[in-house]
Amino acid sequence: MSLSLPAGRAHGLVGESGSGKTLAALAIMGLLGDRARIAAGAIRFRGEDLRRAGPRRWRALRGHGMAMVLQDPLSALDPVRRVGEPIAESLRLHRHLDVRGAREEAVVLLNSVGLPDARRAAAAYPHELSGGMRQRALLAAALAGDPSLLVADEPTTALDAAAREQILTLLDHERSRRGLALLLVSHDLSLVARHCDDGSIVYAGRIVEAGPTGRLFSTPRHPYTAGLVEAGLALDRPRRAAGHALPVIPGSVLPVERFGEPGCAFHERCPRADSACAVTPPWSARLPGEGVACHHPLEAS
Amino acid sequence: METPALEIQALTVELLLRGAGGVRRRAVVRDVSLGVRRGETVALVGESGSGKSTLARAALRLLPAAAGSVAWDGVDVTRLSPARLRPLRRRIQLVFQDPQASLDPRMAVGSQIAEPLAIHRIGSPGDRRRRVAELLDQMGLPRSIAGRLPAGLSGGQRQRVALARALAVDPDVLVLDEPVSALDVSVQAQVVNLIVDLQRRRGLGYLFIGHDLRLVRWLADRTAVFQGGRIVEEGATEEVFTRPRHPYTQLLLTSSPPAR
Ligand SMILES: Nc1ncnc2c1ncn2[C@@H]1O[C@H](COP(=O)(O)OP(=O)(O)OP(=O)(O)O)[C@@H](O)[C@H]1O
Ligand SMILES: Nc1ncnc2c1ncn2[C@@H]1O[C@H](COP(=O)(O)OP(=O)(O)O)[C@@H](O)[C@H]1O
Ligand code: SF4
Ligand SMILES: [Mg+2]
Ligand SMILES: [Mg+2]
Repeated sequence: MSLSLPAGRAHGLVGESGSGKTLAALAIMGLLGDRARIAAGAIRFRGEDLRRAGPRRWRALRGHGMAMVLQDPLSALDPVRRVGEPIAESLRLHRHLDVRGAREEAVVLLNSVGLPDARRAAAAYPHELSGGMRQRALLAAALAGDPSLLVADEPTTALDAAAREQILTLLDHERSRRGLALLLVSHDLSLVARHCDDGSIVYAGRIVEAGPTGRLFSTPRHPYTAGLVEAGLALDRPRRAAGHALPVIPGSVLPVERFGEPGCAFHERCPRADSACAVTPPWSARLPGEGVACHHPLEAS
Repeated sequence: METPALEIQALTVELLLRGAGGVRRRAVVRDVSLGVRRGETVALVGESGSGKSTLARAALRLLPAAAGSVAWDGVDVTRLSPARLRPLRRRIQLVFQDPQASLDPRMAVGSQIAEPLAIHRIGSPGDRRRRVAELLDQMGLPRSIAGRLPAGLSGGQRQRVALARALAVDPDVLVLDEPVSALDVSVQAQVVNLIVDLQRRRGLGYLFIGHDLRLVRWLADRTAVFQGGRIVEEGATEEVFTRPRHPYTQLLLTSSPPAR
């Protein structure tokens, strides 16, 4: 996987469940843990090779330079700490506030991500908040250190449409105000189209298509992207008549054990596949920001 | 009139809420009435934190009612003892919003899907294994996944395991608390088709909690809009979407533009 993200830009990472988006995000943040490792390649943050960063450097980076909103809010929040505490702690470190000031500022921050009863949320334990409230608390914690890179892994799935727009608008604003770079992992094509400049489509651990989101979703070139767009658009058609089903991409997710097999990982499900697709990998060309990894892409227009 | 499979009447649910000034009892769900018939999908949409999941848990009697009643298939379960409740529980199943919350991190996926069958003493061990394989196929999951722990699965895979587990005991009603928000659009469509198909074949009733209004419009016969613990608007789905009366419904609809 290769991608680059300039300051102030937003990049959407879209793809099949289980395709490796979260693992990629965790790798960027140095959060792979001891059951996974980076086998090859490089990750550079403002020119710094992150694979050389030690634990101390990582702590400094995660507090200030880069922050992440984890996909699973329950596992990301400490169950025995009040929600406002880690946020206040981070504010104390980075904005040099005293204890009381940091506590007040934490409430302000929770309020800015749209938590209606921010004072109560700050005093609550994670299990006492609704799913959407937890997601917003995570986002507030991530923003507390004024990061220059935010990696957000499906940060708004539990939010109502109005709250979702509010948060993405807040992030848009942070991008233009202070050059925040956003890597947004999301299944919501419409959200990515509206709030990200560029996008990458991930399938079985690889980026199979990349480009500006306008082009990507209006004229997808990879058959998998086209299938996703088709599945997404179907919901805009009139309500199901008896027997009508939503279009799907037939077949199922490639199990992770088969990610490295020869040929194109999508060939068993692809309507355009021929015999070459089963043996020759289509990813000879790298995809630096724009391109498609496919032997028979859809027409460009 | 047919007895609703799930009927909630004037339900109020109170929780202990911790605030700046200590713990206080507060009604999180207030005076809510809602029925779900067999073969019908009722959607619950609304503000995050407004009490939808709390209502769901009360409907399953995982939380007590402060006032009002809950009936399953005409049987008032509001104050039934745990022993009397147990045999009825298989009729109504819940898929949680957070896949982490529905699955045990230490138990293999196959055993988790079979667990409700074992609890309700349904089938022989061999039957249960076959049922697990069948459910995995229906969910579009490889059978090999049965031996894995939830930690080795992606979020979307986990959510489908949770669905399979809920369906294992053949319930009358499924309460689906945002069951597909963690899935990519194609897998989401697969699961939605499966949900629709199951309903047609088995006459399941659904209480579907969701934030994706396009999906709700596509799926639900009726839609109830929740705000601040109350239903502020309810009606036939098309009616609510084309002629929203409450300002909050109107705000929700304008925040959710079509894909392009
Ligand atoms: N176990 C709990 N203890 C205390 N308060 C709780 C508990 N669970 C939920 N609450 C509170 O009850 C209210 C309603 O929460 P609920 O989870 O029902 O919301 P929801 O409508 O499902 O929201 P979302 O759309 O974000 O999932 C919130 O204010 C929440 O903080
Ligand atoms: N900690 C882990 N240990 C082992 N396998 C994992 C772990 N996390 C994810 N996987 C596997 O790696 C693949 C990619 O997962 P993930 O990055 O979570 O997908 P996505 O975020 O795109 O849905 C999946 O097949 C999943 O089962
Ligand atoms: S390389 Fe072949 S199988 Fe793969 S997406 Fe393109 S046409 Fe389909
Ligand atoms: Mg993920
Ligand atoms: Mg909820």
